[in-house]
Amino acid sequence: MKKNIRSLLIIISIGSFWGFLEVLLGDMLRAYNLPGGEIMAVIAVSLMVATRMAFKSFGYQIIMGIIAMTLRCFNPFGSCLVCGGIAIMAEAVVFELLWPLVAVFKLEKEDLSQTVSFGFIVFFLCYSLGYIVTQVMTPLFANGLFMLDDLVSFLPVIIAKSLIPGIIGGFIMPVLFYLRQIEVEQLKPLILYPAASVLTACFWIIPQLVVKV
Amino acid sequence: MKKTILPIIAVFIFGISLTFFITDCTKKNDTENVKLEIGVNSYDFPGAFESIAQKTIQEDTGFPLDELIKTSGIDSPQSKQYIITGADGYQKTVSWDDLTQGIITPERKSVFEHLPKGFHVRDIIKIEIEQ
Repeated sequence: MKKNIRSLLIIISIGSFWGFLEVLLGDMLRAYNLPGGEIMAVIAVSLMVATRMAFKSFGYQIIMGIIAMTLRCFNPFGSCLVCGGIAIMAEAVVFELLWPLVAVFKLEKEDLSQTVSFGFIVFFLCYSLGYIVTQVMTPLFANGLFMLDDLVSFLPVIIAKSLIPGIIGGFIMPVLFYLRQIEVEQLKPLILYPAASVLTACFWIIPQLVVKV
Repeated sequence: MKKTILPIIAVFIFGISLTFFITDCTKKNDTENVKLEIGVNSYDFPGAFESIAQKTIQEDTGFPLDELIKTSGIDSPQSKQYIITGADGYQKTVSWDDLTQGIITPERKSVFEHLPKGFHVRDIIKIEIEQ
């Protein structure tokens, strides 16, 4: 029970951190015409992989996604809120659906070709399917005019854009497999509880202050 | 056998995405001298529409999209839908009501007062009209 509370607290903090990065870093990158979507997807999936390896529980990444999406939607810092929120949630759901493949294929850190391939597939699909879901859902929410042609004509570009996150994922996944031993039990409640609470509060408050400034 | 499945899938996806990536990179996105198609007509942009008063939405200034459509002489524009397409193939379908709240900037980007940024089509090359 105590372990669950600790895990949940860390997940809430990391979910808030994800949302915080989406709000500030994501929009900053896009403002400078840098590939904000790709970079944020790589960061998001890396956070999900790391937390999944640490806690080994289904559903935690969805919780992270919900928290990040909520933070994104409550911090109108310039960018498209609907698209951002939908993309975050879609990435979390796709990740949860893909992760059971680790058990199916019995992935181990020693098997580099397997972990590199898995990294490429997970990062590629999280980004591309997140993008596709956003393209479907945004018009439905905005003006109710989703047309399949709008999506199909842009699919080649979405697939092309997903290549870079996929390649980066191929490098990141084996590294995360090597670093997977994070012992949640070793984190002392005396430090963990206040630290997680303060950090979470900062991740929620700082974007609001930036908007005001 | 099981150990080869993931690498095979990864190589397959990599091949497809690399093909699209190279195609995308080699695409010309120079829209400076490209005409703007509205329905079946082509127009110099922004030259052909310089008599239309521009308006500002958020931080962008441009020509009201509904005025562009009216200029092109389409019958009963209110009953139609419009597909706005960019040079990269990105396209969005909007209604007449949406068009009345949107502009096209001189840089050929669509901006709508009430729609999210997903509807900001860049490097617009054509606006198709659907019944």
